Amino acid sequence: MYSWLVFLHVLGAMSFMLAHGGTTFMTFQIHKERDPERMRTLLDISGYSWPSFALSFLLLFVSGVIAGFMGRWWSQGWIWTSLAILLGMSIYMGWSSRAQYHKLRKALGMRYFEGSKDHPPIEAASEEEVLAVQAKLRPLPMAVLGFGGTLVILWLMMFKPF
Amino acid sequence: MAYQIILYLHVASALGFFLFHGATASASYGLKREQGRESIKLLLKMRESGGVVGGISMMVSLISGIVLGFMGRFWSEAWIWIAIVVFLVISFVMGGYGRNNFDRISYMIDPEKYKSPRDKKGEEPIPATDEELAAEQAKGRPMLLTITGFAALGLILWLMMFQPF
Repeated sequence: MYSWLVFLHVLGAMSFMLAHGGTTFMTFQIHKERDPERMRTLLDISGYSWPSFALSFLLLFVSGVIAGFMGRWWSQGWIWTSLAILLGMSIYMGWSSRAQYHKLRKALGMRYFEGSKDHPPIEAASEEEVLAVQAKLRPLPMAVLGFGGTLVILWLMMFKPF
Repeated sequence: MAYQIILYLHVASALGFFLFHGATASASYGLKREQGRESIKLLLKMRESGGVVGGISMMVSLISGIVLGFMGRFWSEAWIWIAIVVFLVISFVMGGYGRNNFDRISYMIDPEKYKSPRDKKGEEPIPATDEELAAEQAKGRPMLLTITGFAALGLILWLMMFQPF
């Protein structure tokens, strides 16, 4: 039973990465684009992967928590550290995505999140305003945290150092 | 310890492969929906960049897997051979079906850049009409590829983790 939960946990992690692929490409590509239509396409592609992203995260998280109980790992430091890193990454990435990419969605006249509310599209801003919002995008900190955090979590899971 | 480090590399590169392969998968879903030629060009670029970095990750995963097979003395066991066969079959199926559709759309969008063998013999490339392009886009089956790929992934992962025979 424990082995099956670890199997589901790894499958969830792989599906989570697969679901992140479109968004990763978008974050690196969108700041190079000058055509609003191409920017909308990239933001749309990232948005479409949201259901598979949420489902795989749920599978990864729930199977990990249950495997932690079954393996009696909750008294060890590595599992709490990896959980803290995962939650820290999720909060930072969620906040950063709203602060940067939803501002761009709003400027492009797309559906967007502001605060904790989903807003319908409003009239698109001028090209200069769109480019000004685009110039403020900072994909590198998110990428470094995403790649680095994942490697550290994987190391904690596989080596269980403390 | 060396075995554990190479196993870490094997899993990390597999995760990297899935991340970059995800860009290709997203592009194939996008191609079913997008109609503007600029958007389609962007999706083709997405597929290409995902393919290049994903290919490097896959090579690292494959090489580290082969090394692990020797270090763990697994080559006399059936599960590792079955995992390789499943991996090769799924690569051919996904490559054959998914790539053909991508390649035809690429050629229709930009026949100068993506020349077909016929064009290389000297014939003039003929750009596709919007209707022909839409018909080719409609032929894509990203959901079928996702289900097939996911089933193969589950099977390979099960073989690796449970080493049943």
